[in-house]
Amino acid sequence: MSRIQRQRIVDGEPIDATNLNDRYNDFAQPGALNQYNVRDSSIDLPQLKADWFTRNSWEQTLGEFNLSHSSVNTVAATTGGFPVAGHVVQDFGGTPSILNFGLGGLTIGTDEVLRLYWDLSVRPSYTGTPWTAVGSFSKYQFPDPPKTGVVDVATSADVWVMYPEWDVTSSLLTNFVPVPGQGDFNTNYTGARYGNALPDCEATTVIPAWVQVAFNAVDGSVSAPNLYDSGIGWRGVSGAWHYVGAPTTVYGIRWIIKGILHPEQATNVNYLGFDTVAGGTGTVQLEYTSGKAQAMIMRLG
Amino acid sequence: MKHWTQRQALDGVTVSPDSINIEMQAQRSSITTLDRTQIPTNLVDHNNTEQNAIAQVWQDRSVGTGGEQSAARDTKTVSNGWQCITYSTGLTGWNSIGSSFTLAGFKGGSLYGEWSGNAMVFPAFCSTSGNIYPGSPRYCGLRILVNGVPLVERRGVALHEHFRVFGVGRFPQGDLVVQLQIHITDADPNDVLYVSGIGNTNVPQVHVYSNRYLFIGRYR
Repeated sequence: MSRIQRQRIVDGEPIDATNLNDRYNDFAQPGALNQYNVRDSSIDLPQLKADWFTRNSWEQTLGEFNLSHSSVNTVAATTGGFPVAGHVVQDFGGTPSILNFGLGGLTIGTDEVLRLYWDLSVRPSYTGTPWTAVGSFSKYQFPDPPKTGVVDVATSADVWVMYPEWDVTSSLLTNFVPVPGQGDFNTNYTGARYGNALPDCEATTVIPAWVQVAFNAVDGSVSAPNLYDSGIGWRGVSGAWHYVGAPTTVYGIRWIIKGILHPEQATNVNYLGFDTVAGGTGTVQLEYTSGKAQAMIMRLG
Repeated sequence: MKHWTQRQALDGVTVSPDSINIEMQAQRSSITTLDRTQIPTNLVDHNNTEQNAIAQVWQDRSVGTGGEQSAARDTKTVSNGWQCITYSTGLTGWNSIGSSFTLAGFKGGSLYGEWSGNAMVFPAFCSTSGNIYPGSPRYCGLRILVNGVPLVERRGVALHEHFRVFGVGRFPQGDLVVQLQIHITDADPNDVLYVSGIGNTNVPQVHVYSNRYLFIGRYR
């Protein structure tokens, strides 16, 4: 703080050079042009405009809230028919949940970052043991010494995917495409296999479809009776993505769910591809209720 | 400090009210003795400040090799699995998912960092023979190191799912070197490491992909 504490000159008080210099020193504040007064104490958050760093933020409910799960949305696993459009995250009435930036959209400048976060309550489920189906990619075969044969063990790597799409064309919101760095899992990468190379999964949230564990594995082998599989159960899943790049105006963002997909490799590239065999065995589905999406636009500095 | 510009008061010189009044008028526009309690609010627009004067963001939404970890990549894995970390790669302890990167120009203060992506862990053999108290659940630990100091550390992922870790710390002025690291559960003597067959039979154990980070430095 730099406040003059000296009393005013009053009648009868001598006005000589010493007096004046003292008063001038009060005003001049020897040492005032220091780090504290000019840097540390000169400007702080109150002096910065409210949008100095974070220009704006938005929030949107995804799906529809239902704590008891008496109502849910259900997504069935893909069994073929590519390209797959996927399921748009929506409320129970079928209205898509869109993070809408209005008629003018949101313009992202070159010195700005759009941060995007989402979460959703989901319940993957299945019937039977889809991973054991002939032609499924979802199992490994390990030695089973008691039978001198092999035993199918689920890889537990099958997943549902959830990713954002944005519309950068108009506020009519009729031209959604995956956000930059994110593919639509419709790439035909080998034979009849469709999916994404992993570098094209920048905005993907994966959701495990099931899990199987083995107890008492001995000397590199496992016996079938020691296998236990389980549904994942209701859980909250989340995701995050951000955009920095060419100036863009975004009008809306929605989320897509597809499944089930499984890891595999082709020509030394890692892919996440549809396992239509496992997905078409029994009833493989994903239920969901609600979640939130948040967007925030910030300056880079 | 300010200096006299009009009529410096020297010993023996005749003084008058103007001696101080004129000087005060000459300097009344100065704000060097004002502090933030005296400056109007909402005064500073983004265009009034130097770049990164008060805050700074570093980001990459495809860190590693196309967003994939490159700590180890076993090419002898089964075809319905990824080329990734297996127990044949010999990884143990903490390992960086790729090259370290630098938060250049950090000016000292608060640092927020977040790292998110997807991780696949092969969970099947979480309880092998003789290893049941407790079992050995497979998981992929996650941590962010800043100049060798953990900013955040988490036990991490146990299935094939999405993760996000974030933390805040205070760091001194200077470039900060960041490492994103994973920790896999070590193999058990009874683990099943190979599928039946000949050829590429190693079982994929851990992979981390879709890696992205965002750091925010706050200097005030």
